[in-house]
Amino acid sequence: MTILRRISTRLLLGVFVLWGAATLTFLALYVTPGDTALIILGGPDARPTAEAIAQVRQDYLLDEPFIVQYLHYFTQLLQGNLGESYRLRMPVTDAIGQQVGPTAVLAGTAAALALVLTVAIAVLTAQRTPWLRALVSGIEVVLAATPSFIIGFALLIVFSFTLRLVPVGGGDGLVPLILPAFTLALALVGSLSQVLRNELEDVLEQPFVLTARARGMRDLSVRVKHALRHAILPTITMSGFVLAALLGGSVIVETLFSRQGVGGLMLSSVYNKDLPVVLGIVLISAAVYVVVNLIVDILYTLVDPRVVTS
Amino acid sequence: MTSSHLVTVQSEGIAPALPADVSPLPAPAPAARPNRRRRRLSPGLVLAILFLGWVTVASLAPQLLTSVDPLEVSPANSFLPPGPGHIFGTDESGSDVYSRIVHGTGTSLLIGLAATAIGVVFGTIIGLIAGLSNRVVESAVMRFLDVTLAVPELLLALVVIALIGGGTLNAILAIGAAGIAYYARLVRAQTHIVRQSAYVEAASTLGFSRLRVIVTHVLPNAIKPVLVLATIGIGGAIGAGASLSFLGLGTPPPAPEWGAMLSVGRNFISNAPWLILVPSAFLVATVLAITAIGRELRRRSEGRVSR
Repeated sequence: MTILRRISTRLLLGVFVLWGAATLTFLALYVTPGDTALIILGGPDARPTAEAIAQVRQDYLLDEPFIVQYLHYFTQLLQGNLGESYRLRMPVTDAIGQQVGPTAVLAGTAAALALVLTVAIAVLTAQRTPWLRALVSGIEVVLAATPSFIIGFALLIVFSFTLRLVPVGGGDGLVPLILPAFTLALALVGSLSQVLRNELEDVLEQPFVLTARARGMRDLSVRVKHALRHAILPTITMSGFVLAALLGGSVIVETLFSRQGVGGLMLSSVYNKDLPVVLGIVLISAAVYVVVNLIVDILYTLVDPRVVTS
Repeated sequence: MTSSHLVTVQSEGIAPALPADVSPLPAPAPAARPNRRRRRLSPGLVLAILFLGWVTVASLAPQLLTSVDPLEVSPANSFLPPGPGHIFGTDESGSDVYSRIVHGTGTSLLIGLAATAIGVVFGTIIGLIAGLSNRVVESAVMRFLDVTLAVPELLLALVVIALIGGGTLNAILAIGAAGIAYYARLVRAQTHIVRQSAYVEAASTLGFSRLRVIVTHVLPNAIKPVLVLATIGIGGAIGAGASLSFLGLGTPPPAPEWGAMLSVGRNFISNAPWLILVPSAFLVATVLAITAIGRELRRRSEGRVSR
């Protein structure tokens, strides 16, 4: 019962956040500096006729009262319509849909890489000799402090220009994905493995670990089979941070490696003040964030029911 | 940032506009000599302080560190590799990279400081309002913050820039605005702790006005831990500013700003890698130095509370 209550509270909260995000989005569109009709017709340099302006004002309901525009925006949104791009002359959902594939592949690969690297580093370095620990946490601190485009530069210079292992542009299949995915992943690993190792070191002090060792279990098995299971759970609450880093980082990484994707669309729309696209991307990323956090929260509650009582 | 910190995350900053540092736990303090108040500074920390000294001088009086004009163009000397005469080489217009680094320090530092200040000031106001109001206002404010926290800081900053345009000043506003929710949440949590403390109760019992209690007791005590985290946040904001310049939305070239230098240098990465390596090294060193000092401050303030 309490678990159900917690989940439904979270669900309501998620719906509220989405409604709030949509309303803020609408407000941003509504108060846009400059004449929206002029932006739609091609910016300040265009010299549209008075009829064209009147037509646009009518089409986009610009002369209607606030509440009418708001309700119209919302009914459209509920039907999955994010509006029309000012610049691309197509629905925002189509513009994003064309670009979402490469970004999803990049973010997914980076997330998987980050998970593998984080677990490997934390499991292998928790409670080791001081110098190894100091070295690894030093690297982690540097990684966490380094903006992702600089990580990308470093990888490019080392692996493409010096060692010539990975071609700079082009390549077939998975090759063009390697450096961008590692760039995004490494930006995460620095922070994540610090957290996971701290958790692991706490768990390795627990009596049940001693019991397992006393039964003659090998060190690595103790770490992987017993300690990791306990330690990884609190780390899952970092999913929000991970998601934000993936969504924000993809803008940078796609620019750096000249990749297709939502990040590039976001950036070109910011340059051109194409607000419906910018805000559509923000709204979708907020939705992804809310849904992922909700799923994580529900899973967490089911796996570890203690969170409800505490 | 997120912050984020963004996470900073710093980072990122922005993304990594989160504060660059998200690990909740500092390393445990050494058990030896628990009574000693003053801990000896680690060599890394000394380096960090020295480097930040250099950064401060470069920001306030760049002419003390170089006499070369950062905007001087001499096509005959373009793309000279690092060597005598040009310790960090020259760029595509033949300008001295060292001079451009020195003169760019101020802008990068200004972006970090000003953006963090915006986040902290507005975050403190909003956090205090939430923490000291009745439950209805408080949950309204907190839900509003939840909405902004659902969007990565870099994307928030990009929305602000789409609304008001790019440039150094607007980048500061964008990064600052993107960090407000993070600080507001911190201040509100601190306010709750302070509000229940004995000294606030005592001050209220003595009949001091609500405003006086807030200004003289709640605010100073609630904000102290926030300022420590803000120190770490400055590093993230510097990285975020460089990221925006790299995307072509912050300081425009040929101004000598680190992110802008990287944005241009990217085109010459294969034949003049020093145009990337030098600004990157200074950027990372600055963020690291600030993060290291911020972590030390946090360690000390936490140590004092718990003992």
